[in-house]
Formats: sequence, C-alpha cells, structure tokens
Amino acid sequence: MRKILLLAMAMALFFPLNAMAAYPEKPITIIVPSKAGGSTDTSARLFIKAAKKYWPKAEFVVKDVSGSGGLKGFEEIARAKPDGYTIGMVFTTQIVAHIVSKRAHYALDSFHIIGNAMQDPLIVAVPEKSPIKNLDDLIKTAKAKSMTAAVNGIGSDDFVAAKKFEQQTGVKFNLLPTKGSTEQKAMILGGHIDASFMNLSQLQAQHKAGKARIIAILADKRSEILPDVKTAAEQGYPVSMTATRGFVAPAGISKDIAAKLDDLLQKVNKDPGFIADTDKGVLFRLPMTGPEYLAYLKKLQAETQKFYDQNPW
Amino acid sequence: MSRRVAEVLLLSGFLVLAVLLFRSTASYPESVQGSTAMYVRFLGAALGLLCTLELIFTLKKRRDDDNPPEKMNIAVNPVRFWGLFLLLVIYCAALSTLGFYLTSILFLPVSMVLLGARKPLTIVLTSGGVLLFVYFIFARLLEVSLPMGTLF
Amino acid sequence: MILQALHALFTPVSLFAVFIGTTSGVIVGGMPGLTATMAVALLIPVTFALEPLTGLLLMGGVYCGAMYGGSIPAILLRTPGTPAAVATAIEGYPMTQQGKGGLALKVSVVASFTGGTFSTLILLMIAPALATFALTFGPPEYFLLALLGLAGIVSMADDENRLIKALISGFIGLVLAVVGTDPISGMLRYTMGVTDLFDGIAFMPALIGMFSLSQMLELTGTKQVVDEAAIETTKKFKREPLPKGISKPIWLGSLIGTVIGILPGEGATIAAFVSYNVARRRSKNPQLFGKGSPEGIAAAEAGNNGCVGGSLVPTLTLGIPGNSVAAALLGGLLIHGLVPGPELFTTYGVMTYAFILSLFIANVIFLLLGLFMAPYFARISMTPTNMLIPVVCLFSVLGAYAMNNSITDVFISLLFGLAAIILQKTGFSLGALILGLILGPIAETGFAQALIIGHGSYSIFFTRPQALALWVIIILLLITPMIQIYRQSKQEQKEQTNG
Repeated sequence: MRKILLLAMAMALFFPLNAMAAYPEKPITIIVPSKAGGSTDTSARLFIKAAKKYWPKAEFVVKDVSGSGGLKGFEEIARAKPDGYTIGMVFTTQIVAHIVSKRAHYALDSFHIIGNAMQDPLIVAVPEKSPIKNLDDLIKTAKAKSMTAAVNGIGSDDFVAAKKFEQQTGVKFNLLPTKGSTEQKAMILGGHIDASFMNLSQLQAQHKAGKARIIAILADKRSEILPDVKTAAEQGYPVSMTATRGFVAPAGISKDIAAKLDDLLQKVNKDPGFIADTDKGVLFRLPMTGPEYLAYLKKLQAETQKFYDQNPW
Repeated sequence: MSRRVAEVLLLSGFLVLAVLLFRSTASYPESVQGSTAMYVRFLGAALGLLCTLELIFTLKKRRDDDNPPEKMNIAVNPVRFWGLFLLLVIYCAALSTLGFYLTSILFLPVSMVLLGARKPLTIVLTSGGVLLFVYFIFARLLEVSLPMGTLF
Repeated sequence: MILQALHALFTPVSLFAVFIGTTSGVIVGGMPGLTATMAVALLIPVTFALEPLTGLLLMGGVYCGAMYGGSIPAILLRTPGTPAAVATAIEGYPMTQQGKGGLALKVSVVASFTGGTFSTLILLMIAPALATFALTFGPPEYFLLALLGLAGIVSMADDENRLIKALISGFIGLVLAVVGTDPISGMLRYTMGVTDLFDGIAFMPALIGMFSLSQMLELTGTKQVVDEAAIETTKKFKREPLPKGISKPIWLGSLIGTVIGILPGEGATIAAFVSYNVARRRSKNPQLFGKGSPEGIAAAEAGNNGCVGGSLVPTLTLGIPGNSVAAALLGGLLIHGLVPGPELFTTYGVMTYAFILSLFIANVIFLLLGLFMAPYFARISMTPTNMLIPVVCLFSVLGAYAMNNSITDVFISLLFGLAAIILQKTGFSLGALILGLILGPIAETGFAQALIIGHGSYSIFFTRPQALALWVIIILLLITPMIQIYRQSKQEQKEQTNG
C-alpha cells in the first residue's frame, strides 16, 4: 500500500515536468463559446487545419459550449485547468459586455490573451426599397421620424455600434433587439424595419444580390469584398466598430507553454493556406499579438462601461 | 394520498406561482412594461384564473360514496422506481467528478441488477457494448465531448 | 441544366456521398441530444478537402436522414430523437405498446418520405416565388403562428385530460419558457443566478426528461414495453399492409410542413404539431388520437420532413437559413464561393440542381432503409426492461448533457422526469406543457417585437393581410373543438338532471 502511495506521489511530481518538456503530448481542447457551424466555430476549425502544419504531432478537439451570449463558454475557459491543454476562443463585445453587466464570473485577467485572428466589421443596412442611400439620408430621416433599427440582442456588438452611432450623430433609434442575425436578415429583406446594425459577413451576399443595401461600413478602410461601400468616416461620421474573434488560455499557464501558443497563432495568422481558406469562407482576418489584443479589449471594456452606465440592461 | 388531494395541492401551488409571477412584473424595466411585462402579466392572470376555476370544480365535485377515493399511485413497484431514480441522481452527480466512463461502468450493472437482471454474462456484455458504442460513435466519430471528471 | 446536374449526380462518388450522409443522418437523428447541426458542422472542414458538390451532398443527406431518424426512438421508446418528433412519440409509443411498433415505423417512414419528396419538389419548381412570400412574415405573423401552434393545446384535451387541465398545462409550459433573458430589455428574470438558465430552460433536456426518463421510471413496474397480450402480434409482424386512411393526413402534413418550413424560424416542431392538430380535426377516427393513431404519426412525420425542403427555399434564394442545420449548410455554400440568390440557379445552376435532386435520392435511401430495418428495429421493444431501462437512461442522460455540454441540463432533465409522472397521474397533459415550453419564446418575442415595430400600437396584429389570414385559420381550428366541448358538457348536464 505504502509503495503504491509513494509511486503515485512520484508520478504526480514527475508528470507535470515531463508534460512540459514534450508539450503538447495529448489532445488540446479548444472551447468555442458559440454554436457548431457558426463563424467562430468555423474559425476554430480552420485554425486547427493550419496549426497541424506547424505542430504535426498535436491533436486538437473543438468543444462547442454555446449559450448566454458566449458567457458559458468564456466561464468554462476561465475555469479550466491552466495546463495548456484547454484553450478557447473569445469574441467581442460579448466578452467584455458580460464583465460590465456584472454577470461574468471572470475578468479580463482570468485569461492569458494569445492574440486575435478574425474580425467582422459592423455595417449599417437598409431594405432594398428604402429611399435612404447614405448616412446623411439616414440621419435626416431619423431626425424627422422614429426609425426602427434592429440589433442582435442587448449588449452585443451590434448594440454597442448602434449606441456609438447614436452618440456620435445625436439621433435616437427605436431599437429592436432580435434573437440571432437570421431574424435581422429576414426583417431587412422583408422591409419590416427601417435599418439594421449587423456584421458584414452576414449581409454581404444579399448586398451583392441586390436584395438589401449596405449604406456604410463602420471600419477604418473599405472592405475588399465590397469596394463600393463607403466607410462611415468617409461620409463624415467617424464611428468604427468591429467584432473580433481571438484566442485565449486560462490565466496561470506556464510561460513556456504560453510562448509556444502565442507563437503558433502568429504563425497560423501568416500561413498562406489559412489566408486562402478564410478568404474562401468570407471570414475577415485581423491579426493581433497578445499584448495588442489585451489593450484593445481593455479599451473596449471602458467604452462599453460608459453605455452600460447610461442605460443598464 | 388520494388523487384528489394531490390535485388540489398542485393546483394551489400553481395558483401561488401565478400570483407571484403577476406581481413580479412590476420590477421589469420601464421600457418593457408595455411589451414583455404585459405578456408575462397575461400569463400570470390567465393561469391564476384557470387554476381558480379548476379548484372550484374539483372541490364542488362531491365524492361518490360508493367508490372509495382514488389512490394516487406513483409507482407500481416502488422499490425499483425510487431505487432507479436515486441511482440516476447519484449517477448525474458523480458524472462531473468521476467522468463519464467510470460512472457509467458502475451505473449500468448496478441498475440492471436492481431491475432484476441476474445473468452476469448478459450484464457485462451489454454494459461493455454500450460503452464501446459510445466511445466509437460519440467520442471518436462525432467528437461529442463527454462529461469529464475533475479527479483525473 | 437539369440534365447536366443529373450527370454530375449519377457518379459513384456522388451517390456514395448521399448514401453515407443519409445513413449517418438517420443515426444522428435517432440519438437524443445528437443533432444534425453537430454533424453538419463536423463536415464543414471536411468539405474543404472535397469537391464542393460532394460536400454539399453529404450535408444534404445528413439533413434529410436526421429528420426521419428522430422518429425511430420516439415510436419505440417514447424518446424523441429531435424535438420535432414529440407528436410522433405521443401516437407512436402507444402503438408499440399494442404490439404495432413495426407498423408505426412503416407509417412513419412512408410519411417522412412523402413529406420530404413533396417539399423537395416544391423547392425545385417554385422556390424564388415562395421565398418572397416568406419575407412578408414579420414579428406579428410569428406571434400568430405561435398562437396557431398553441391552438393545438385544445386538441390535447380528451376524456382523461379535461380542457381546463390541458390549458393549465399549456400555461405552465409558457410560464416555464419565461425563465431566462428578457428578449427586449436583456434583463435576467427568474434565473436564480444559474448561468445555464440565462438562455432559458433548454427544451431538449426537458423533453428527454418528460418523455424518456419518466417513461423509463414507469417501466420499472413491467417486464416489457409491449403489453403482454400483444407480444404475439409483435412477433408476427412481417408484411402487414399500411393502415387505411393515412394518405389524407400525409398530404395535409406535407403541405403544411412545406409552407411552415419556408418561414425562417423554429420550423419543424411547429409544423409537426400543426399538421398533427389539423389531421386530428379532420380525422374520421378522432377517438384514436392519443392512444396510438397511425394518422397522427403520418401527419406529424410528413409535417416535419416537409420542413426540410421548405427551409432550403429561403436558404438558397435569399441566404436566410430556416434553422440551424440550414445555417450550417449555408456556411458550406459560402465557403465554396456560392452566393445565395438568383445566380445560384443560373451561373451555378448545375451544382444547385444536383444538390436539390440529391435530396430525392436521400429520401429514397431512408425509405428503403426504414422499410427494410423496421422489423429489426421493432424488436428493440421486446428487450426485457431490466436491460433496456439502464441503457436508455444512459443515452438519455448523455443526450441531455451533449446538447449544451451542461450538467445542470442533466438535472433539469431528471426534475422534469419526476414532475412529468406526478402531472400525468393527476390528469395534466404533457403534450400541452411541451407545446407551451417550445412555443413560448416565439410567442413572447413576436409579441414584443411587433409592438416595437408598431410603436406600441396593437393595431399591427389586425391590419396586415397575412396576420388576418392567420387569425382566420386559428379561429377555424378552434371552432370545431369548442362546439364539441359545448355539446359534451350539455349532454353531461342532461344526464345529471335526468339521473
């Protein structure tokens, strides 16, 4: 009995050291805090495909933990054992919105930020038959009558974008929260609402097919897939907002492993195969290193806090 | 407990629930007092009304003196019924500490014996077969993540 | 173009892809908690390596197969593999108990096949025109659609579950559906701080608890699922002909399923319940409903499979996915640079038409599979309960967990299981409760959104033509049972005064 105990203790002491030397020696779980088949899920699977090139022996498993606007997944990443075998994806603004609304059992420093990979800029869209052609028209109309604008849920990137836009331009929308972007799309295409704040990837196909009109993209520069759509800044309203999708690990992982993961993401971000795949999948890249992404998240949290204080949800 | 008493108890419970629900809508934000709060108020009011009606009907219906009151019979075989329920509760509670495979390898044979299975070979083969099936189809092929233990 | 599409489809690789997709779809659909969405998501990275068409064929097969697969455990074990199979469980399981499980399976596969084929035909012929129709549905119409589904509660009332009790059960379901996040203000309500409840009570675990676990607990008192007297009938099942009178509900179901499937949203479950309800209203043997009516199975299965083709209409023509499986499929299309819209039917027509045509093949595959396997599946109901119960319990627990990777959901499932037994013994209706739980969020969101769009005025529910049409259907559906109930209560009164 005693021998067994000793052996167990020896193994317990020995294994972590050993594990570190050969990391990764067992499958790495990537927690995706959204539904299977969504764009975050697809990003994770494309990342794995590219990562295998650099870590040929490593195995990755995607675990979709959807629900509560990503909250369940974010919490699971923060709670995970910091041994490098569980990492996860986060997306904005939800990751900070939950902290701001005091629902999260985590804070930004519960994570080691590996870096950012993807983004999806916000857009302003109107129905095909709408007389509104640009932001000036929109603001003029909104000042004259109450306009209904759809956002995907409260505290989402759409919501924060709409609030930012209201603040910049002094208009006030009759905000309609929806469940998911599908509802937003159906309402824009069916002309049930006057405008919608949503992500570029969600409506670019409909814009190309002429079924809806994107009147502004809330980014610093125009998008390559829709070069005819002006940015908000070009139209005189410097509102910029994007949804980022990055990678994190639970705080407290060892420096060696953290460095390895950081390095892997940077390599994948530059990988030509990965770039080709994301272009095909209409996903937009926004490579950021860990420190850059952390600074970005902190700034976003402060901004979201401001909106929450004005109008809590 | 007779079925009538159980019904009255349940209905009173629902009535209390309806009242609480109705009253809770006062604390909804001002912006939704006309929309979602209204909806919830309607649910509370309708449920309360229906429960009151049914309560009146149940209490008014006089008991037939010829028939003895109908017994509330939850389980035909109480030992197996509650035994299985208890096993299920333990099983679910143990999932998050012991992990899926270990708890299942205990749960399957124990519940089989509880329910009257006596052939050791059948029990072992069925339990093993089910777990192998789960491993290959769920874990390997479909990459479903099974409950993991925190102990290991 | 159709010829070219056929040419592309009838290659060994393509046919094999359809076959594999459909078969795995049936398996995935048959396991409670495993969803077609999961399988399609797994396929997305695989499709990068494959020819675009092969990937799409795989996904289409999974979609068709899974919708049918959900009915198999629903009939045999009262364990719906998908939420859309609840109505099938209500009618199919009593048939199994009567030793007619094999027949129920046959009815279900034939109905699924007809519904699936019909809706695919519609998709092939008049997709773009239908999509435009779907877009005219806004929040007020979705609210009324939910009401239309809820009208089914009245149908759940029969001799054992009186109308008031059925209504109470429905409202309890609606109240439970309120738990979670307020859809408009984002406020949390009645969640008690449990993160797993922020999105509301997940209905698949609740369903597994109420139908599957509760049934397994009930079965502890018996030796077999099948009634002792009916064991011989189960054994004899070989070439029993399909029951008469199921063709009408099948066509009704196919039509209703296709129409509801076209509307983006939680299509299949509503479609199954609405067709079930309509079939019950129009049946010549309404007394059989709730006690094992083949007509009920036929309507429900034709309804939910009718949604498959229907939901692809807005997906392909407008890029608005009808449900989460269609959403994942849409992802697969976009990856290959296929933009939903008119181009899909012209420039990329060969691939699109090959995909649509493959759905026919997928339907044929599961029809053959279902007919061939029915007698073997039916034997499952002959397994002694001391082996069956632990195994089904394990898969139920696993299914409740796998839906959202949550242990809380497993306990919710257990709680609902016990509650279901108590409610059933006191004469409440489980079907009505589930209907309320599933449709509650749609009703509430539609109601509140419509009021926002209408700037707070209720007139929005009565001024739009589509809304008015829905009101008429709802009233028509409610009139017949109301008259029936009125007559019944009058008769009872007469008997009482006479006696």
